[in-house]
Amino acid sequence: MNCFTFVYGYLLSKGVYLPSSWEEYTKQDMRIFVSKYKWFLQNKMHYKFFESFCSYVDTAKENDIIIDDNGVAVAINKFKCYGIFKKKPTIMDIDKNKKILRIN
Amino acid sequence: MSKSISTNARQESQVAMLHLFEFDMYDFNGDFVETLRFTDHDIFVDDGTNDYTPLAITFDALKEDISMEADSITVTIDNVSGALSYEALNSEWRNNRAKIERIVYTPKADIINTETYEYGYGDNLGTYPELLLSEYTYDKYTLFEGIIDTFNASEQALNGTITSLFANWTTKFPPRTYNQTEFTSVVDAMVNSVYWGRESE
Repeated sequence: MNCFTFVYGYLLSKGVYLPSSWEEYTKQDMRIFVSKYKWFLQNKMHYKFFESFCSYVDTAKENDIIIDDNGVAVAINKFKCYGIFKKKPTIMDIDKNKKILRIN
Repeated sequence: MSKSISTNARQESQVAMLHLFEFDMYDFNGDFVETLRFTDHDIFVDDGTNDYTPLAITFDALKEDISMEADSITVTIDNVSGALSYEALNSEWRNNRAKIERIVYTPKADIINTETYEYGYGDNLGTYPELLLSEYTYDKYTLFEGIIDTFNASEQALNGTITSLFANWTTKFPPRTYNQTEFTSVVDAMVNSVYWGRESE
């Protein structure tokens, strides 16, 4: 599990569906997606992926995507988000370095 | 109001305590926006009606005496991460209702991955960890309720002074027309015009 699959799974459990494919990747390629996630982060591909179906907003609300250079998480409310930190699900602050994306 | 702790929260001497904070928020037009709910517990707290967000939030020791000094309490919210900066700068905090409640409860033991947490860990419901108060026996009472008198925000922390409603019993609440350099706070304005419970001459 990494931050991408965590966000996918968490939002799915909430009844929020994300696109199952992007460029050459599909949901069936999740294994590749997981194994390549560091490459995704280093090349900031995760920004491009979420920007393809989300818009930037100023304040977060439940189920918004919280993104920074280190990965992605899901907003619980306007102050806190839930994501993977050091391989464990963790509640984190939505600090000034994080950007907020709302699913279109 | 009662501030006694019942036997509900004293089983086997395992008593835990947390606080719930409520701040009413208005926009600069004076329209009510929402009530912000925070807790000094380390995970979210659900009291059956509302969710309280965990934050590094502290308040001064409460002092109650018979002096005519207006009763107030200072609340400090950590903002090192900057998560509250937007809220601090886009809402009117002063003159709004604020409430601090104390919860005293008996934590239950949790076993997670064969490790036993004697005083509980929290309830992981498949979402984020959250303390559901409905599953505990607990005592709850209002520790302090009043209005936010002064407020300031910096990159590191938000500071607010909450003034007890007691201060308003016999005093006419001053409208916001005082000179800010003359009175640095609402309380200063009241203290200046009140002497031993009556208007100063």
